[in-house]
Amino acid sequence: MNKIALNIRYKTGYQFNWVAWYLVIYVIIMFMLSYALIKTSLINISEGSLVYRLWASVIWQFAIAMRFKEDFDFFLTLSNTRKDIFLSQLGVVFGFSAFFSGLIVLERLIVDHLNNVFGYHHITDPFHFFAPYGTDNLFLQFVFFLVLCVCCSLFGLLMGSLFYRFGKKFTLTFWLVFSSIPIAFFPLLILPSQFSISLKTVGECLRNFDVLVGSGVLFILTIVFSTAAYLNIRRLPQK
Amino acid sequence: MAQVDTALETKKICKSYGSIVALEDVNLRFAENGIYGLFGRNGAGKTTLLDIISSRIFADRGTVACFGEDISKHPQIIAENCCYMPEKHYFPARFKVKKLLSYGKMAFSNYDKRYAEQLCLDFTLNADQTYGQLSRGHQSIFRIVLGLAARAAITIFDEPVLGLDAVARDRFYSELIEEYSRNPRLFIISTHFIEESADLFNEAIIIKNGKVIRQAPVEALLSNVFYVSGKSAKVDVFIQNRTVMSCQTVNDLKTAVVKGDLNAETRSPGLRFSPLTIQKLFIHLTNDQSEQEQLR
Repeated sequence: MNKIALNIRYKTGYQFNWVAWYLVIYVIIMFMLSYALIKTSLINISEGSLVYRLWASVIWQFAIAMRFKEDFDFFLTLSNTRKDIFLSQLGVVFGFSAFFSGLIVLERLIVDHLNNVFGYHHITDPFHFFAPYGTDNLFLQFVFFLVLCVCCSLFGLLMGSLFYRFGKKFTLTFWLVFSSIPIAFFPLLILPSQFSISLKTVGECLRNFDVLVGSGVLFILTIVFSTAAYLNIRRLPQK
Repeated sequence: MAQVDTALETKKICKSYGSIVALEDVNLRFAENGIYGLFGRNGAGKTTLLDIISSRIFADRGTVACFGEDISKHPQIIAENCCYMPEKHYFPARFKVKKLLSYGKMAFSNYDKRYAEQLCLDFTLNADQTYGQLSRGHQSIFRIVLGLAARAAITIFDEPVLGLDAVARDRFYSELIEEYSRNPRLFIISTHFIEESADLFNEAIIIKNGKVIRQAPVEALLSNVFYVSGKSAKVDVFIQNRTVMSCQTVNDLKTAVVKGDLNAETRSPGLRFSPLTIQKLFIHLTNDQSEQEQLR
């Protein structure tokens, strides 16, 4: 138990610095820039508003969780079992996910309030409007983002541990495939309209899905990713 | 069934990397208290063995028992009792030494913070520097400090004096002896500095091509092997019907390493006899050229 506490202290020790920087940059760039754009009329005020951005931090959390190698090597040197390492990673993932989910809900309240104060219309651009923001139930919104963050982080942990096991070739292959997915979608966008998937359709999906069902799907994926990550880590040799 | 005073025991450990056999049927037993020297040439399998013992990697076959418990079934037993400082550096470079040492306090239940601070002073290790800023020698010192201060029941060092100057190496050997006398426990030390560290070890283990070729107390290893030198003809007569480990001839003078007890009956007039050092024994046991010469 002491070693799990140690791991959590170590990970939070350096991750909190990054969180602080992330939030400082977020606050400065997102709010100030949005406000400046509106004030200088570079964008139409009637269509502009402050928007919810913080949910994009799931990508950052995914990236942090993928930094598995350093943690694994260090914790093994400090005589941790692989189970300790996995449980501590899980603890950190849940802690940070809960922290960010809380911030995401808080951000919504602040953005809504500021938009009301400045008299801006809430933006309805499909890429800025996300179904969980459509619900009035803040707890449900919190739960959805919690599961989303945990799911993305555990996917990052799984990939990080797989990169560690299979090495550079596997890592390179994964990133080639991963980065080619958007390219694969490109022909679908330029096909004749009856065959194509419009950006608007994608946006509609993001805006209109059932939050409860979405949370359930993400929860199932979380179980799958965490099980796969544990099975990989429990017999993972140090490189 | 393991003996009560056995801290670690390996049984028929095998490990291969593709077609390369790193370890083959390694059977070893380590007592609860003692300083064991692990010797072998580069690539002999020392690090692989230590990695398996400390559960960093897994053996293809065979078992490792720590205090009687199989570590593959009970990995926590090795995690709770072992502090392994590998040769490879696994510490985050951006962390300060004092921060890393504070993690040591949380990781090892018997960790002695004051002792760690004292060791930092003795070895002139600046705890305010980051690990990445340390020279290679000071990184080795950091591992020594953490390993000694952890006071784990089983302490393993892989090449602990790599990059250390002669003064620091000597300081480490003295500190190890003092620490062992204060807090007796199991130390396993893999090193290439055999000659200067020979006095430390209660027992020596010599590995060659993945196989343990000797495990015995240092005195016992050296007690039944000796040098004989003199005129070639005389040496040839002496070594007839004896086991010769190696021979070297320069002009008419021949030197042979011979197995057997060196007692008064053995000594022949006109020949010089002298004992071997552990390093010389190691060289003769592991040098393939000596083997070929012996076959000739």
